[in-house]
Amino acid sequence: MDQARKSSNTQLTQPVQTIMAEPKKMTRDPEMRKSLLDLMPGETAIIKDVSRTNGAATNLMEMGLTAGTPVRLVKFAPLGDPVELKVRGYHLSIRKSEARDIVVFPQDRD
Amino acid sequence: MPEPVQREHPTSQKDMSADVALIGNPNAGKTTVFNALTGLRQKVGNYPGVTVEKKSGRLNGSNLPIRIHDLPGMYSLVPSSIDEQIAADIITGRTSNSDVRLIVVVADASNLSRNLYLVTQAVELGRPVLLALNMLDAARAKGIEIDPAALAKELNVSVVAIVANKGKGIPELRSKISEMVLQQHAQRRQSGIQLDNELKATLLPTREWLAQHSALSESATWYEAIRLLSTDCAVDSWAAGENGANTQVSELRNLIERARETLTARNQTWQSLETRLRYAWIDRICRKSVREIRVEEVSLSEKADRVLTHRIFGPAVFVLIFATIFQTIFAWAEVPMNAIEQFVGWTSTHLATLLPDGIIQDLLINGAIAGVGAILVFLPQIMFLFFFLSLLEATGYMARAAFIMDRFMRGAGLSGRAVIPLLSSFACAVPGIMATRTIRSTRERIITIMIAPLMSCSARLPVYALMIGAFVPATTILGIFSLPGLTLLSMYFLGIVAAIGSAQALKRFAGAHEKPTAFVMELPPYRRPSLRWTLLQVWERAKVFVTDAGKIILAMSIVLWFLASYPKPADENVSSSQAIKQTYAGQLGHIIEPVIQPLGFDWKMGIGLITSFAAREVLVSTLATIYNVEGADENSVTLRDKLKNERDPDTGQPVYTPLVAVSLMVFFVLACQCMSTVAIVKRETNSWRWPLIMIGYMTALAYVGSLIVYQGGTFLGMG
Repeated sequence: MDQARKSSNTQLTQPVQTIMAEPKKMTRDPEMRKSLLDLMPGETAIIKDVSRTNGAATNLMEMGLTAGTPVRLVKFAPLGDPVELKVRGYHLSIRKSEARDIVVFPQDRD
Repeated sequence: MPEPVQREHPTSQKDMSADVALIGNPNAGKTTVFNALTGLRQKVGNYPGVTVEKKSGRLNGSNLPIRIHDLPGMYSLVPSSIDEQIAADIITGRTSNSDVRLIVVVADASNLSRNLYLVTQAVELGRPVLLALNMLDAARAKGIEIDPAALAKELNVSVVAIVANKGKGIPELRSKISEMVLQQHAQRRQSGIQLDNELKATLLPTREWLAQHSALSESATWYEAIRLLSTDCAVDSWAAGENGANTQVSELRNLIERARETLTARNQTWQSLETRLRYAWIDRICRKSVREIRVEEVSLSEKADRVLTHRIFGPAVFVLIFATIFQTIFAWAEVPMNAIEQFVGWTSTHLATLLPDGIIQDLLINGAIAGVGAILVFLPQIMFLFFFLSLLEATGYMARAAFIMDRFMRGAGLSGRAVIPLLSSFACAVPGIMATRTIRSTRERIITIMIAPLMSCSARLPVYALMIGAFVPATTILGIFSLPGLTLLSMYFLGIVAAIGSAQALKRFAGAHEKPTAFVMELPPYRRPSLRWTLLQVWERAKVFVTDAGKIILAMSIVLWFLASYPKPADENVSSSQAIKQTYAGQLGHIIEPVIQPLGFDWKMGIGLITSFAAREVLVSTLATIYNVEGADENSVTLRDKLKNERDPDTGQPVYTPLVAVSLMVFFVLACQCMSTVAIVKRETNSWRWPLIMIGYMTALAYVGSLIVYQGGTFLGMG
């Protein structure tokens, strides 16, 4: 979001070359990162990358959170943390600190 | 992996039975399968790590001597907790004394792909593997149809479909185990992990080194190469083992490093490569053997969780459940407690008329029966507590408790995982401390172990019950809460608060450099607990309490009776309260009296404090013994009344006031008075450092706590 605002600003002040480069990157950027935590409770998305979760990656993947797997953010715990996920037909609880680093493909709302 | 080694002296072996390892994910029904196969009674739990200890039993209904080992539940053979390490060591053959002939993997069909992760790892060990596919009915209810034959073909292992909790498929499983143990030849299996040519080329140097320096088969060298590449410290097992000289291992390190660099240069990550490739294999298996016949509906468990982990109702239910449990323990146990009390009194009076006066009668009635009787009274309460805790475990609610409490626990440097050991410690710190093996971080584990004994265990219940019963009036507050119940609850609460404070302090020096590990916990579906197993569990715990604790208490009671009876006063006419002063116990109590006087305790309670360092409940039997010795002619009067009537011989004032009772209870909340706990901490931490710190800090806490209560209370005029 920040980047989008920044690029619209730069359109007015920056040289032409960068203007041409940036919006193109924005509109069809497959690299745009979306975190699992950006989902609303009840939403489902496809996992893109777990390797950024520092130290927990192998553990999370062993539990089935591998790239290409659909995952649903079921709910947040009463105190706001951890989160409950549904993956591969079962329920899993991880902390926000890990969920934040799990990258998912942006998807339309159900 | 090496072939199962033939033992060197097969004829000298005392035990000729074949070892079969039973493994599986937590909550896959492994324990139920174990019970069905062996007929052994064992805990059926629903939260990760219920089977902390390795258990074994003989296979029922088989002519062959086959021993089944029930291993801790685990998600992966690459261990991330001590619990998983134990299991992995046994089946991979890393521990010298294991010679596993067959690995039976229990997998939950309603959660197949994650369960297959462990299955595919087990298959690669090169030992015979039998897959017990459990809960096909639950899978069908979820709209998933699994073809066991296709699964068997894809994995190249034998598959038996079972519904363990209904006993379905168990006879088939039993005969298949016997059959496979008889076959005995280890089947080598190809790993199903697929490598593309590019990856193969990258791994080739590592693989060739492995082929040269080990006895691994070709497919095993490929698999080992991926494992070494994917995991940071995996190569250490080659350095540590007898696999080769260190110079050669540094060669291997270089080869792995080069392969990693190649991948990084190609913009690929080497971390967790094995896991990713394995799930790719699993997804291929599932495509051929699993059919989703309809879209999954919202399950009953999910509906229940809408309330039980709800933002407001969740914590409310959590508090309500535990408040109800403690209230109930007090209320329901009343009737059986009275019955036991009367029975003990009846036995003493009858024995007194049957036996001639003298030392034997004195020993039996005032030593043994008084001591053991006083502790038997609390058996109903302990049974109720175990009943409720077993029920919460078996339903799967314990994991929800961890989910709700995780954020709260983190403030104390712990995670939701610590909730389960800590809640178990309300029953007894010993199993609670053993349950900490599922905690992945060493630091968190140490902190949990150190504060677990502050949770009011069932052994404190007799002390609380005696003091509250004698000195807290049974009035009600706000019409519904009874004052005794509230007092009991506040004792439990004090322990929790002290535990949080201690955890905060311990956080600073218990491995403060270690980075916190991730909290990854399954929320298993709710299951209907088996009443039979819950009751069996209560029965076994009660049996352990009566026999194990009973033995100590009986021995202590007799020793105490001796200490409190001898030396006999030279002058026969001296009053009984004067007589006990001169005994060994009296002398000992007098020695420590100056230290405990500021807490409101007299020398008789001092004797109790000394003896209760063996086990807390001994206080009750100690007091019973002391007062019985003193007033041997009034057997029928309960200990409760004796305490109430106890007067200071000099001032005539009651020795026990409600304030003294509270001070004593506070001391018992905070002090580390349990030999078994100290022993288990020594065993689990493998050093004397932590148990000694534990005794030290808890004794200090108890002394200061009681001092504040008694002196503060006296100052406020409540004495």
